[in-house]
Amino acid sequence: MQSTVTISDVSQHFGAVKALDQVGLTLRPGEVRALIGANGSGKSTLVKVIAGYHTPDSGAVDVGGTQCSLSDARGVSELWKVSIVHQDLGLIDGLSILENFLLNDFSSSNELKISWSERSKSVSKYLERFGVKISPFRKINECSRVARALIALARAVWILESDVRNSSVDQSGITGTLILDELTAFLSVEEVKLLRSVIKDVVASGYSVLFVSHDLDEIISFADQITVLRDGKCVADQSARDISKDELFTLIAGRSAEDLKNNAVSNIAETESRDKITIEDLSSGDGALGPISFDFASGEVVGITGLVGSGYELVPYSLFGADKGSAGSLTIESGTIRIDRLTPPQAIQLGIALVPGDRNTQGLWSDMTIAENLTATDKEHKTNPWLISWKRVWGRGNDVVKEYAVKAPNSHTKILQLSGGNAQRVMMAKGITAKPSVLLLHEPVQGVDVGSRSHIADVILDRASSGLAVLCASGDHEFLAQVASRVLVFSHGKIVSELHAKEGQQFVGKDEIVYACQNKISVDVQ
Amino acid sequence: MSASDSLATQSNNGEVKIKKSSTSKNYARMDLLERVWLLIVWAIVITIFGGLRPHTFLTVTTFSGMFGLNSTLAILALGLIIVLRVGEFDLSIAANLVVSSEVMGILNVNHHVSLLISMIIAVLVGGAIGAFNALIILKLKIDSFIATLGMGSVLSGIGLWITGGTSLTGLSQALVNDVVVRRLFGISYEFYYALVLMMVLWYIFRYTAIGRRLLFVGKNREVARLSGVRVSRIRFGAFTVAGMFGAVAGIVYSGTSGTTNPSAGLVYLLPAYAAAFLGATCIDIGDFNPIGTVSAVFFLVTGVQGLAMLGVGNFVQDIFYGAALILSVAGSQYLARSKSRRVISTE
Repeated sequence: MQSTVTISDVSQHFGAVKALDQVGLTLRPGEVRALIGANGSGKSTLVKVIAGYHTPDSGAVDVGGTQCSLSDARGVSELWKVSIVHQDLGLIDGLSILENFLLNDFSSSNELKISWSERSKSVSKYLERFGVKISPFRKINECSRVARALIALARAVWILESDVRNSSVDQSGITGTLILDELTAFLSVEEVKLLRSVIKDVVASGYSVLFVSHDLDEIISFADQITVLRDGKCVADQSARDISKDELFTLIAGRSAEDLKNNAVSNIAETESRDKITIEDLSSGDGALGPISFDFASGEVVGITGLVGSGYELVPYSLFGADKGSAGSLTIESGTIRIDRLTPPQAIQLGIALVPGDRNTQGLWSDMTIAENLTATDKEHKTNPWLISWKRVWGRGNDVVKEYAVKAPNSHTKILQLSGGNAQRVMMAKGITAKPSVLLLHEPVQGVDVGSRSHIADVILDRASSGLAVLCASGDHEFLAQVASRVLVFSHGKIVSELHAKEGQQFVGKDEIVYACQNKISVDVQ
Repeated sequence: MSASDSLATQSNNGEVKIKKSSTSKNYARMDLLERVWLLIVWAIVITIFGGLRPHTFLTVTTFSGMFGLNSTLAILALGLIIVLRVGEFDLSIAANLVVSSEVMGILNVNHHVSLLISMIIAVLVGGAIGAFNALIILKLKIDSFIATLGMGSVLSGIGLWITGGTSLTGLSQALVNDVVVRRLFGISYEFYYALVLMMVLWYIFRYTAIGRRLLFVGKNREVARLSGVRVSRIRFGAFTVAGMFGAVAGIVYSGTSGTTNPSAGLVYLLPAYAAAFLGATCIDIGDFNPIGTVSAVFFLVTGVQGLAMLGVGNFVQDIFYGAALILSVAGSQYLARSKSRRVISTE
């Protein structure tokens, strides 16, 4: 018989920030507990503490009456087994299912001859338990998305039970918990259903499940118990049966949902005679996005957002022709373009600029100077392509350094010598110097300091007011509330709601965005 | 991201200074020394050999030979840095040299095609081989290292096949005259051909948009793609032009020796890589650059020549070039690390 696990008094701080403040929770055998909270509430820190990645400042665990400090990793592992399935599943693409299962075994065992047939038999028996009827010799990249999720799940339980298999200990004697970290985010509704029924089976065999999710519908229909974290504190620990979505939201956000709901759909924007950019039937090749249709106009900043895995982050890349397999059409002033035929050079010709999400791998050549980076797109000071004037290049770079208040001695400074915020400013400048009429942004303030955040917000608003059409894809709802007059919310690849600024306000409110993301309220989008 | 975040901070008044151990004047001087270190070491090497063998090493013959007879290597290395600059490898370039020069020889000797036409066709063949390399790499999505390793073997096989494995003699004397016999300031013309190609590449790399795009693709292909650079076109062009350089090196080789040879050209591959990587540690530090490359060629041949005059056997060439390749790659990685450590910070 498995025992109840009680974690108590977990505190952890990083520098001056208290990530967890005396948090506790109970995991009963056969029960699904949901762990929810806004970004930065401490969810992932708690998961990492439980998994043993972090040693907390304090905290204890009680397994069936036996106590142990959480900082004693070895002691804890003797009492209680934990196995995690992360959002990215942690499977190795090029290896077979069997090899993925045995990774842990191989990293520690020193047997001289691997008995493949024996092992494949036990693995395929295991997979059947999880509804997967695929030969364990198949490679991971030959499996569908949902099959991979199931395989990852099966492997996690396999790891939980590995000690039991290898020793003669009675199987029922082990207390195990399965942690699912946003596992369903990338799956469709049908796939989620299948996954859930499998998880129910796992629970029925006596394990406890800790389930991390943003999706309130899913939590209410699936979890038995709910723990809500806010600012590192546990603000609720109760049964999922007697709680409504609005109550749950109030617990997460710390304020009532009522005033947010009513305003979300107000004042559909009057579309003026400005240049409109119309996107029709946009979809990505892997099915993670679309088909969706929407439009935006010059002078407007439109935010697009959603929960992790909802597909919104693909939109800027597909509209720039940088996402192979995307389809749909894009209509701008100069005509209609098929997105499946669009390439980045064409997009630039059409006046579309992209500021990608990752400074170091997508946006900037980090071991080149500021000025050199700007030459890639600069139209403002176009020099003769057969005789580049370096004086002009450096001078233009220095102008940008000044204009964007980049903290660097001059434009000879290399990007890797800049802080994140300053590099981000250079990347914004690189996009804008192409003199675009449409600016596509992806996470424009990820990992930047407060000063750069507000500077970048100012730049965006300033350019929009001079006629630029801006599409800003971001999971940073606070930032969207600083720039966007309209926000499109995505879920499972579709636009599920369209939020407008309230009467008398310039931007969409942050809480409205958070609410819409977590509740997926559907609004007819024209 | 976190690495670059931690590199720099800013003070309250917003002033930023480059951290440096000495005054800025010293700093600029250090910078210049770093750029030309190879030339300084070269001068030292010449002094040492000159001191040891004053009567054989410090002679006009030795120097005119060193400068005048190594243009094949220099031109091949120049072709190589075009592909290296876009972040690719071409291991077939020396075999390309062989095949192209044989094509010229067969046309000129066996079919009595005029020298000029034979040379033009040879360059076109070299370019076509480079373009074929690019097609394999782009269409079959094979790593250039593997693709050109295979192509190199295929080409050297073809080189043996089309000539029956023998050398072709009887090339037009005009070629030999214009490559090696005629001299300017005591040095054969071929030296100046290499010099001209070096200057052309230097100009293209530094002053043209195409040259910048080559570097953009080499520094980070994904950033280049998202900046609207036609990455495939650039890679294709780089391989094609490098192939043409291989052919020109082949023509110069034939002009220098008066023959074509199905295997002798292959030995240039490793020295060309050694020169390219050693060249990247000077002039434009960290980037493959023409002036650095040609300097490195002459540095390396000086070393080989000097050691030969000290009576060391021929085997020393292989050891010397191989060691130079390894040391220059190690050195440039060390330089890259120490450069990135020189960060902006407040003081």
